[in-house]
Amino acid sequence: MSFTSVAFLVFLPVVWAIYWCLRRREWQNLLLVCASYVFYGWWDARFCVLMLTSSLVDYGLGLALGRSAPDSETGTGFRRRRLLLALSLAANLGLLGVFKYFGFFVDSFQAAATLLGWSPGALTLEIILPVGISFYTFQTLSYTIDIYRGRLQPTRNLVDYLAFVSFFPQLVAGPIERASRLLPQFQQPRCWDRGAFGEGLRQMLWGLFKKVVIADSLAGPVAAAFASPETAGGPRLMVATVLFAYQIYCDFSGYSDIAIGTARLFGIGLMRNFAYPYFSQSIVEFWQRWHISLSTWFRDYVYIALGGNRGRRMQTWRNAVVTFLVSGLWHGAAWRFVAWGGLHGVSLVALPRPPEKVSIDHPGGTRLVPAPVVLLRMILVFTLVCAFWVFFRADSLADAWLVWKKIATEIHVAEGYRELVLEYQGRGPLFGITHLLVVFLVIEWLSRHKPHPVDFPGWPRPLRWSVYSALAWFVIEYGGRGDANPFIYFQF
Amino acid sequence: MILKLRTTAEWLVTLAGVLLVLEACTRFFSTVPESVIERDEVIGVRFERSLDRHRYDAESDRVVRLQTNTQGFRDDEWDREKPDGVGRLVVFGDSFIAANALPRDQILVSRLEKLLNRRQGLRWEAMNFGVGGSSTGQQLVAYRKLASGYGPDAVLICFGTSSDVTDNSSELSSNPILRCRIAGDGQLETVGVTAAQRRSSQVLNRYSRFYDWQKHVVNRFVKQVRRGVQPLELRHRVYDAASGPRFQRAWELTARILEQFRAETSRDGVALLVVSIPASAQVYRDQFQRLREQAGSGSRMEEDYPDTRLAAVCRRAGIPYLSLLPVFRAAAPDRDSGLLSQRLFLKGKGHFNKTGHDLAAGAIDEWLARSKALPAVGR
Repeated sequence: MSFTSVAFLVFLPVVWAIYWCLRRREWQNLLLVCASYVFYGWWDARFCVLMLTSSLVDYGLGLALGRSAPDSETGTGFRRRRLLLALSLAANLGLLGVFKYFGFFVDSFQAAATLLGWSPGALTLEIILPVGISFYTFQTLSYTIDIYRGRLQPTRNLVDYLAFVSFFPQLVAGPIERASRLLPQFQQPRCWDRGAFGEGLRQMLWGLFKKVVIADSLAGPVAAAFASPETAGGPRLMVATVLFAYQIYCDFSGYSDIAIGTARLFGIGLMRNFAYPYFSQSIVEFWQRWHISLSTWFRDYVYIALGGNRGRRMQTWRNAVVTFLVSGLWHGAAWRFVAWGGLHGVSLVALPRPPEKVSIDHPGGTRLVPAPVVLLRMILVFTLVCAFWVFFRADSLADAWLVWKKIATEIHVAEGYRELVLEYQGRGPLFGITHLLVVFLVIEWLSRHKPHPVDFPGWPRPLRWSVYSALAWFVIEYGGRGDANPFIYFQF
Repeated sequence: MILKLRTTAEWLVTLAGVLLVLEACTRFFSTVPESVIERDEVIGVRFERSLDRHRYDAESDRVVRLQTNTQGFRDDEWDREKPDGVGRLVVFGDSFIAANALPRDQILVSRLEKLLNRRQGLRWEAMNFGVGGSSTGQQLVAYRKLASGYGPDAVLICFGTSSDVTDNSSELSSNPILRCRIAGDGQLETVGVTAAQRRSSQVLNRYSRFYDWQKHVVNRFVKQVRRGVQPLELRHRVYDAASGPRFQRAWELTARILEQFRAETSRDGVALLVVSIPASAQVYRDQFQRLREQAGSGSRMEEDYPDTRLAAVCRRAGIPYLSLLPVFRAAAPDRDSGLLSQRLFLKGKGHFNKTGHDLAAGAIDEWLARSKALPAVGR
């Protein structure tokens, strides 16, 4: 069930009303588990079996890990714990391997074999990619790893655990929560809080606006340009790349806002996932602001596991690049995603960082008009991020390379720009999109010290409600135009 | 007390502000076309009178000039006095006949008038009484209250097979429109739109674009929810030969209305003719297959069922009847809505496109000439 579907519009109020009618947290959790499985099964009921299996395996392994206290003298406990952790890793990564990467590995193997002059028999297997599998497997993995590391006590309550894994607002596209943060919330009674409810609704509204109004409006021109890069001119491809940067940002951060807002309606707090990433002044900062729940997951469970920055400089660099390559592969089973991750990894270690540390709450500094050097850094980082997005969006590595080449070689061709200007002047799709993006950028810049812009403390009620209703109007109007697209990150 | 008053005042100001913002958003940014149809307690629905507006139509993706006469129909001004040597053909129908998506010279009624007048020695005025959402019951009332006053020689009912049976029935359609029903004593009676309903709707329609927009949005939402519960739209059950008693009653009502129509036109010495307007699903097999899948097992979906049923009704009532289905199917021999060269409907599934209008007008003209169903007037 998608957040932008009519089914969700009916589902959410019904679940919400029943949830707050139930006073006991045990019943509330049971309701959330049932509702989450309905939410997930809406795509395909078979997906629920998969999620339940994955959850039960980690629940059992978590309990077993909790029971096996390490004995430093005999060393038996350590081995048993390592074995249990290995089982958890094998189960979760195996699940991902089969359902997400099987085709990719087989294709890559066949391509490599053909290159070496050996032609293995064709092996094709039609496997459906279950929605959100990368998200919930990472979430359950973090549970067993944290127990293994002694940072978390396993829960004996199966319902609480299932609620933590399947909690529907963040089930299919995050934020990827840690058990240490989310599980305790399900273990405590929740109280109705009107303020949190209003805040949740506001964040949902902003998320919907970003997804339905901006991301879906940008999808068409982006898809048109990237569908045939050989016929599109360099300037058009350049504009399409910038538009894609905003499409994916509004799509994914929109999803996160809706997820966080929805969770708040149930009295559950989810972690922030985006913090105005396009105002970053370095690639490092970009990754502190983009998909925060995933980048911190990779930092804690991959980068640090590889050694982090404890070794020599070269080792630190290697660890960072490897982490980003794995992160790229996590995004999609294709070499272009690996290339995208690799480019980020290399630029992260190769490019200098700004001398001063930037606060997460003040991207681009505190000044209304940024200092020229800050502005320059932001533009450079944005340009670099856009260039990397080409690999994310193109249909293949060859297409991505072609887009790069065309942008680089045709950037000076006036004809391409004339075409774009004519489209703008003729009030084509670019006209509305440009205005929408300019307004969006200004709003984001002015509200960058807040988690989201739809928060106006101190504004008189008529003004606040006018803004809410205008946003709601845009969501309904654009949502009804019939060009709705599924959330991009659902495919991961 | 003062605090309470202040709070109330604040909420009132908020409400006014919200409404103003919503109105402004709709006026500046909405792509939902402005409604030009108004409720009428005399004849049910008609267009705004004396309209002359250029209007974007999403179905045809073009701006169309929409002009209506003082009676609120998409036609030239009609003279009460019929000129000598002129035959008058009143054409009733719904949005297929009003055809807002196309310029007036391309639509069925205009094309038919041209074709009729091409025959030597005949002069016909085809009067377009088509309006979106019109049902056979409303057409009967419109004939009594309005069309008969123009001294027609013939009345042609263009019966939309995809919607007219449901539109006739208050059990199957919830639109607040004028309807006929069979009373307890077996007589046909009219249940109208109240004057209050008409006035409030008219005022809001005229001065608030947001009012119009929210109607559109609510309808769309209800439709989507219904589709979630029951994938097959209710009106498409008209193809189900095993549909329940509600459809049987709707068909009985439709038959009674047509019989009554026949009685009243006969009394006035006016010829009554019925033509069935096919839906795209009846023409293109792929679309009907989808409906069949949505209907599920337990239903007996037949493409020709409404036409067969309507033909039987007309035969029993003694009304000359033409089904346009064979002509349309012959013009789309592959019966595949994906083939652009065989498109007879806008976007392949909506109202008739220009080719569809031409085809329908040609077929009706040929039928009228062949069957001599039109009275010999206008010579």
